[in-house]
Amino acid sequence: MTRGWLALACALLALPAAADELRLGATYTLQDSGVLPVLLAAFTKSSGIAVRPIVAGTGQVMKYAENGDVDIVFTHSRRDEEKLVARGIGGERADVMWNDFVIAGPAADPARIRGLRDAAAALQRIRAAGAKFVSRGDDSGTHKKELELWAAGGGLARWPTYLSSGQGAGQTLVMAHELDAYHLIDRATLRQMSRRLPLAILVEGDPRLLNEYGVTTLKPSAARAVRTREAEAFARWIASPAARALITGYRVEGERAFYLPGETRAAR
Amino acid sequence: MPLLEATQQAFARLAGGDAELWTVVWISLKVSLIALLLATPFAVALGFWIASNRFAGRRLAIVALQGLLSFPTVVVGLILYLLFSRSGPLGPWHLLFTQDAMIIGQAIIAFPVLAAFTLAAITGADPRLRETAVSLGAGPMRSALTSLYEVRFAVVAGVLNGFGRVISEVGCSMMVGGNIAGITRNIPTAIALETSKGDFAQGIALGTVLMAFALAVVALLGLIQSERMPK
Repeated sequence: MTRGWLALACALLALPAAADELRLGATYTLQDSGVLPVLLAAFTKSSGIAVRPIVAGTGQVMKYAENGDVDIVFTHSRRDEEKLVARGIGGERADVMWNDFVIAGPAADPARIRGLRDAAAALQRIRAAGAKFVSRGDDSGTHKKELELWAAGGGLARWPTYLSSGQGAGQTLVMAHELDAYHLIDRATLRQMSRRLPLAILVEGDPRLLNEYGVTTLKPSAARAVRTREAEAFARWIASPAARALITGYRVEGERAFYLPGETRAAR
Repeated sequence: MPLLEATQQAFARLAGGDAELWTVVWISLKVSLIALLLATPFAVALGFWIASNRFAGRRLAIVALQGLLSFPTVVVGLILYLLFSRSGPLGPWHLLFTQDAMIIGQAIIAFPVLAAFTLAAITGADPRLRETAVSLGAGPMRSALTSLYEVRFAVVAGVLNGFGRVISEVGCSMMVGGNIAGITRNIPTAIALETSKGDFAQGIALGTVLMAFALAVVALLGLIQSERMPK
């Protein structure tokens, strides 16, 4: 009798972690731009491996990786990904695709940044004008990029209408729209929501606005039970011609959203 | 296991007067107390009115009030969001993602608790009290205040229960406040954020403060009950 209950308990405990289910830590922008479900559905179809996406900001995904809560990460902060590998938590990192960030904002453009090429200077101008700016403030890849740009322009001196939302890309975009505020966001997510939320792209084209996505496998350790086989299958698949065709073929509102490493923007 | 380590850090931050942490606590208290201050007079008046008047649909009003006790706070948030959104009817008021929006939301959430407690207290009070007051020449206002004074402990218990509900409420605050740092980030929304950022120490520290509030409310309720005993 007792043994029966024990077996049942074990079975129940094992349920949430089905044998071949891959836990993939991914960023909000992958989810909110709509590309993640497309890629995962195709991967599951071709490999038979079910994937549970765990979506969060890049900073948090890194913490999940450290704590062994995910098996592989798909993020957009090269520095953090390389650090993960250097610390022996990550196995191998590979470039998957890229697009770019833009500074979006109210069409009235009170800080007069429209058409500026220098994204760092544009941010400083928003600050100088005391205009509203909504920051992700959640240690995500987008937030890290924003902080990089502030640092490049001489630093971030907070002002009363610099608002830190602490939420995902889509939710922060909604907030920026509601408040008529400036905002740094990746082009694919902005476009994905552009029909509902018409925020104008004001600054684009600065090489520092490059947004690179990479996949990093994780090494198993005593503290972390990682499904290595499934994770490696995903890493191999995402570099395959089939996955690449999905990435180059993915359209948001009729336009290319992501580019392959080595591909140039002209390809659109 | 990060739990032990995070807890140690949490208490260090609480003791060290971490400015960000105490700003969050202050916003929580301020918003919830103002919300209660706004809701209490109206809710108590409504509860009293329903209890002491006979009118068509009274039963329905009582059932509706009790139903509202378990009205989901996220639905309050959703409705307010749609009203306050720039494309909503109250958009021009620019209330979305402000403390005012959070206060309105919490006042609405606390309202049925306050009204239902008052209703139950007045219904359960000795009817001779009011009759005596009236026979001694008290007007309707005066006799109402006499009745409410007699059940003041039950009304205060209602206020404390309402406080317990709004201070720990996360759904509505997140939706209409937006969890903006230093402005609309209160204890519950901050805990949700810090956990999702992986800063467990801040989450534990704020959770500790929240539990301290809850304990204080329970202690106050106990005190009120023991005060009442001899009567």
